[in-house]
Amino acid sequence: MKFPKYFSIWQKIGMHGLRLTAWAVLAFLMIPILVIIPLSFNAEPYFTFTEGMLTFDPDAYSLKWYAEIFNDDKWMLAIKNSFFIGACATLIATVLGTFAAIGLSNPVMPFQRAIMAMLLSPMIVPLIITAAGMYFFYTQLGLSGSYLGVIIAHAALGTPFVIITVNASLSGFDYSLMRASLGLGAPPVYTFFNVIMPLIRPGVISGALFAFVTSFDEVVVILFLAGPEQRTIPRQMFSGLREQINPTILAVAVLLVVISGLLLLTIEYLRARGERIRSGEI
Amino acid sequence: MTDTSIADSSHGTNDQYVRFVNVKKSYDQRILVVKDFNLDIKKGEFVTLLGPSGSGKTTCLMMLAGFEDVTSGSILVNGEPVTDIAPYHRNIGMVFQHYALFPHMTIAENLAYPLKVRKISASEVERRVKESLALVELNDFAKRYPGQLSGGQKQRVALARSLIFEPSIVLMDEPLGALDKNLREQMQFEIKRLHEDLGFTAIYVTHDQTEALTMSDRVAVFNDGIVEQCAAPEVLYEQPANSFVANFIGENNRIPGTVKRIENGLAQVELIDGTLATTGNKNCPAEGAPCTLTIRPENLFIASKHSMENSIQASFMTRLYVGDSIRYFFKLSSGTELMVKTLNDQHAPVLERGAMTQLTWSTTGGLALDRSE
Repeated sequence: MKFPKYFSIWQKIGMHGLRLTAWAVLAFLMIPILVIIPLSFNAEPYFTFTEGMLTFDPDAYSLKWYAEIFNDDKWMLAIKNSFFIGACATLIATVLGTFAAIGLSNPVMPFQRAIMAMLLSPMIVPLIITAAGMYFFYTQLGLSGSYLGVIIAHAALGTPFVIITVNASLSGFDYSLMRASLGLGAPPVYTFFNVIMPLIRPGVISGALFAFVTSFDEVVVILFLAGPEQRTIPRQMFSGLREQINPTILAVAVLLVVISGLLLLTIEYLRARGERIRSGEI
Repeated sequence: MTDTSIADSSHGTNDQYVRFVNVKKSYDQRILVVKDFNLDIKKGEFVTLLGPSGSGKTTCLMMLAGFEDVTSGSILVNGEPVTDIAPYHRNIGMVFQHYALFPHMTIAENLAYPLKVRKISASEVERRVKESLALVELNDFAKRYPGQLSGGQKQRVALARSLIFEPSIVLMDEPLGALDKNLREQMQFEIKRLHEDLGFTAIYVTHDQTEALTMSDRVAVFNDGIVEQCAAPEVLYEQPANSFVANFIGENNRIPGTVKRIENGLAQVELIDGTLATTGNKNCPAEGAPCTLTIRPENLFIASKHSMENSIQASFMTRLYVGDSIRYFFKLSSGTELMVKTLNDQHAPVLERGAMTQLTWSTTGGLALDRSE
């Protein structure tokens, strides 16, 4: 590292210390995630590195735990459930969240802050409380142990993310565009789909991705509400940890990491693109 | 509706193409932003609403466009009330200050937008977009996005977009406010040209008086929710109805005084330092009441050999060299400051600071008005 000449020895030590701490924090966050990747290729049914793995013996590595996922009906059901519930919940959360954000951004709307706080509460209230509340309420309605119940619950958890991202994309929105569109003869619905929607689309999509991820790795509500039919990947991993001690669970975890990583990159790409559109570069 | 009223409304629609009748507007049900606005606009006329910010001029425009509802009164277009028609059915073109071009569409798509909404055939849309681009001399810009255009180009596209669906009325809300001075003048010509070529009725909002004077057939001067005067530019400048208009339009010297006598359209005014002056009377209060004498800087002269009907003693303060003209600043004994605008020719006098000078003006060069403030 290059320091200005006027730096004292203590400033230099301080700067090195800061760097070291930053790297340590990063390592602390990343190592648990990264370490499962090689372990998922373990040829032995252990959760530790074997002698062969450390010496890079090709025979010590295998894809058999990945094959295991696809041969196990429980895992296949869990994967199907995760994607099905995630997709449905995302759809509901995106539609509701987008409309809520547009409505709340309108200056005419009364009690904006109160309503916003209420809509965002599933994100703030401890999940276990939300889950317990949902359990009692949904059981009354006969929704517990059904796909519909789980989907509605996940939609409720995902909506705040959509509201936040759409709200952010609306904050830079030029409302004279709406007036311009109406003035040019376009009715409100036409205006929504042709002017507002294209401009807030990055916000809508990244909100949808957040909602999907929320549903995808949610386990608390599932524990309360889902029956054996609705087991999702996280739920299956949760029981897998106790019942079937083998690295299949690590293979699933790696798949989840890859999926989450891809979603994260998509969100980042959309965010950057949204900024470009707003600044008029495209 | 009876037969006579139909006859009434169709009668004179060309002179009363757009009518504001007793229009009032309040946003909070307490304060009126627009207080009893009345204006008749001829078909094809270019009318400017001019006033300081917050005087209600944009609100009037928005009510005509349908973006704000009318608290009371009515707005008629071609004899038909429009207050209950949705903005997207009014068929009025509008140009916004910040262009309001759709950033995710190309210039051609922006122009095609109002036509596509109207379900016009693709070939016709293409033809009219091409024509429209030619009209504002942006033929090569069809495939560009608004973000790639300069301010002036964007405003030309906005103008073209507001005209492409052939509305009979075009509203412009400070369309040149975001442009720099040179571009603004160029765009003023452009707008005038389009107005003359296409013959639409234009209602233009601005707080720039030069813009209002150079472009309009008539200018309505707004102040605090009411129209102070609505007249042709030369009438506003030469015969302002009251002291607000006299001050707002152009530069003016104001000397406080008292009305001595009013007769034959002339007013004799005793100025604050005791000088008597006779000038044209506009809306002077009764004899004995305080009034303001206004003299345009170009109508006030530094007396050399012969002086005119009126004159006053003043001390020279400083001068501003503008280029084509020179501004001389004087102070009366009462403290009132006066400005004289002289062409920069051989006759422009050279004065010592503090020198006592006679300033002179003709009877028609000044105007006696009410005293505001």
